[in-house]
Amino acid sequence: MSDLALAAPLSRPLPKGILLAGPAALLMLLLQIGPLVLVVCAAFTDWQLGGEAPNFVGLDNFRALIADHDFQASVLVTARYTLMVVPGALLLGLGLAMLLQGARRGRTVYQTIFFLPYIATLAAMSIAWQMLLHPSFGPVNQGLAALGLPVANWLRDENTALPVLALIGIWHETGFAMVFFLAALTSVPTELHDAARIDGLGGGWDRFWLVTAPHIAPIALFVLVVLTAHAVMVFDTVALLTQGGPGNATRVLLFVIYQEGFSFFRTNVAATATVFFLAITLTLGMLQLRLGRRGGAA
Amino acid sequence: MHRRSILMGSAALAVPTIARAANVEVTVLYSQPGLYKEAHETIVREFAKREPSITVRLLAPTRAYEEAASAVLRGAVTNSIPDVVYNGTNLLHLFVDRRLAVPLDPYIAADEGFARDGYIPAMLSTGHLGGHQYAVPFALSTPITFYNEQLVRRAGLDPDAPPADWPGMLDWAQRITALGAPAKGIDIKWQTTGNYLFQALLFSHGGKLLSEDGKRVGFDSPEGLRSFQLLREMVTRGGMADATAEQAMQDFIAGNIGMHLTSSANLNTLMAQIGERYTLRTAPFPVPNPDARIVSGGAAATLFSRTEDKRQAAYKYIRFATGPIGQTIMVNHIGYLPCSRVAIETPELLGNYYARDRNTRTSLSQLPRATGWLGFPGPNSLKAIDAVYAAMEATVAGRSTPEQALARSVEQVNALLPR
Amino acid sequence: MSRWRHPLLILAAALMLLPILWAALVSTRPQDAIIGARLLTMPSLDAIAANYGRAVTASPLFGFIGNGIAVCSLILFFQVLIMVPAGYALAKLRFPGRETLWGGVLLGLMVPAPVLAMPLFVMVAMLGLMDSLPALVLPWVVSSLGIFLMRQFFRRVPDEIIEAARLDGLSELELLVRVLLPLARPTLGAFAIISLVAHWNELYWPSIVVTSAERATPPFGVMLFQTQEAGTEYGALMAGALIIALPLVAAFLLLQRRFIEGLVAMK
Repeated sequence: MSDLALAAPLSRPLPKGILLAGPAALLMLLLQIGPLVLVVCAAFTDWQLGGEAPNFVGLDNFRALIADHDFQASVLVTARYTLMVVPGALLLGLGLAMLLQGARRGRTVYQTIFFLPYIATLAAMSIAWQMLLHPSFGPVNQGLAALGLPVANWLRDENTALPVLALIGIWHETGFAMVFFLAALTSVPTELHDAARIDGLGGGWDRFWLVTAPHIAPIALFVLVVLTAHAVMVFDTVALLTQGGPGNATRVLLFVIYQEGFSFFRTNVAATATVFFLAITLTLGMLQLRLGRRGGAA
Repeated sequence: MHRRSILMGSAALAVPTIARAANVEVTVLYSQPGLYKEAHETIVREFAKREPSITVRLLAPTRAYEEAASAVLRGAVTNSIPDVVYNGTNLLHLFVDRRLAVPLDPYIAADEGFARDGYIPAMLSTGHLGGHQYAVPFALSTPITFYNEQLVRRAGLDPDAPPADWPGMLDWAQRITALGAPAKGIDIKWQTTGNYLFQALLFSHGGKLLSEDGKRVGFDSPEGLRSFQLLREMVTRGGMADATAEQAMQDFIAGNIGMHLTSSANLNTLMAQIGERYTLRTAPFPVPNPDARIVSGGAAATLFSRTEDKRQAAYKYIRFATGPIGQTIMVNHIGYLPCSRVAIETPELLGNYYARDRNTRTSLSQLPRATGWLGFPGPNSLKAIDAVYAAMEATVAGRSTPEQALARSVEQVNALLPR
Repeated sequence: MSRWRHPLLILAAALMLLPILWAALVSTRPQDAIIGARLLTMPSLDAIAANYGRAVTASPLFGFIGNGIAVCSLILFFQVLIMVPAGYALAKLRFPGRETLWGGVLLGLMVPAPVLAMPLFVMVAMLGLMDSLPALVLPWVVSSLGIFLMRQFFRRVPDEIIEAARLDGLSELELLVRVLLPLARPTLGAFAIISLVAHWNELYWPSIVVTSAERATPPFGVMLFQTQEAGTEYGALMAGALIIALPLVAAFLLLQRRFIEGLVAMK
């Protein structure tokens, strides 16, 4: 991960590439890799913020964390959340983009509306959602009751809390996915569609798979990676709406890290959880990229 | 002592005795600006008039106590802890264990005005830890019962005679619930930070948080079990919903809940949000016997300055903010309990305030029985609070019986306490 | 398909707007009529004045917005300054360490910023930058996403253009500034929106390094109306949320055309 290779031969004049990419590499080293290494180091100590000098404790923190039920739960919860939000936002974003692509009128207006949830401060919007979902006088339950449908205390029910948070996540991310797909669709040459029509590929689906899909695959992969990164680091909605509850139903990883670091003030435990977290996201990311390469997308 | 002379005495304290060559700056951090902002700014303005040689600078307030605590610990890394921090008294362990908080005892010993200003011992005790006074309470509250007069009346109960004990309370709750949806009898804000309401139940039944030697939990007892049982009974008999604190409060404001047991700090907000909807009434927290202890918690001023001249100046500021004048300003803005008897009893200060509205007197009436809001010792202090929270949540949701909840929280907290 | 297009779009738009409209509705209600009110309570002018008034006076919200503009534009400025040459080098030049750097960029795409907050804080503190503009800007000056986008864009620029410029005697820097940068405008526009949205709404990092009201950023001014202990002032909170979203909406409307065009370069 380090960029040691960059510091290579100094006898010759530096290649232009190094001059141009150097600042970026240096800053990444300083602002990302360096801190990362510090976090990993802290995971092997008993250091607590504001406390005395740290001692090396080996794998104690790791053992404690693996045995911690709250932590175990958080890995599963994060996975479930991601599996709901990423496909949801990806497909909805693609669907909306395809609908918009052919629209002659109102495109700008729709585009802006769909992007608004991504623009609005999620923390503040969480409070609006909370009011919408209020069990007794939230419009959601009032509406459902008026239609004779079952109501629930959505954020306090172990079965619904996480899906509801995922729904808010999808609401927030769909516009983000949409703009990327819209860009990709815009770039599909119209001749391709015309050619396909002439070749007798009449059905919408056929044309989608044969003409559109290969064209948007690289962007789809990128959106997949970014949406996954966003989903595994969900925090605002959890912190404001459920605080990880009921029980452990919405205890996502980043919330655990935050709680350990800034609510429980167990800095070393937070660092250890961070190391786990990074291991998981990196594995996921690599997997997605590899998959993308095998599929010929990247 | 005559009230007038007491007042004069505290005013005398404010007169600068020595003209300082250099101006000392004292930085102050507080939480919950939505609540405290105006009170703190007014106090700082008044203080500036009396102590021109000390500049008090209010830092950007944090949202919650935990965030202020976090700022203190971060400040320890960079040698930039604010001079004075208002924090939850249950977080005191964090600063004392790390040897960051400065004991106030020597300053109090050298301060003649301290005794005159009538600090209420029970409230001072909330800032006491390991034999030292580390914090002076600024704004404290006690849990009380808020109730909806009209809803209570509809259930055929007499709103002028609220129940004082738990059997009576649960009986009221049951009868209000019987009115049918959306009416619910009771709600207790068990989610409050630092297990505040759990400690209210526990301490009022005579239970202890920690064992004598402080190495094990003290609520592994009939009183501890009773606390969990009451939580469960409020659900099964009293119609309490498994809701978030926010939802329950909104439900109460909307007029659907008969009785809402929470910190007296909520009085002003509740009054503002209920408006003309119904008549809000208050009663003391239900207790098994009239002299039961009432947990009292809230923000207390803690001193962190590193140099002696800053400590002197910061102490003066703390004394002003927690003294009669500062406390009068605080109560007029936010309605918490003052810790100065002088402020309460002097008509020009708070005497008239308390005479005006009966709801404000409920919490005050519990003051003589106040006991501290406690934290757990050691590096896992706040994780332990979370373990008790999880046990309460499981009890309210019906996932655990009170016995299971007690057993699990005892086991978990014991494992988290320092040996 | 086309028959259903607009009904579907309208339905989707309504669902997406619902929480935002609700926030707007709440911001028009008096404090004592927000909870339990009927869905269609008439907005009251007094309440609007009270809520929006409180939103802008309870904290120096306009000051916060000014800070937000300063912080976001500085971040964006440095990000662009760094990502354009880096993206170009990764796309068109061979140099030792190129693959490593590209790996670092991909890694950076997946590491959520909040997990590095603690060590970054210690760094900022040791540099004596607490509660300063640089503290708010510094950690974000290099953007993996930005470098990624620029590299993808430059890869699509035909080599002939670059060769021609070189033959004209342009230095690598001149080539970048005079030839490539104008071409990259749409991509930069797209990146600008993403960067602005992210840093405008950021609550986590500022809450760690900001200690005085003079440095606070917009979400601070809004979230202070949310308190656990004494109840939330919903009207003012929603009013504030709408106010601070306006500059971003304006930026989006302004950059919208560019935005979509710019993302085309993604492939």
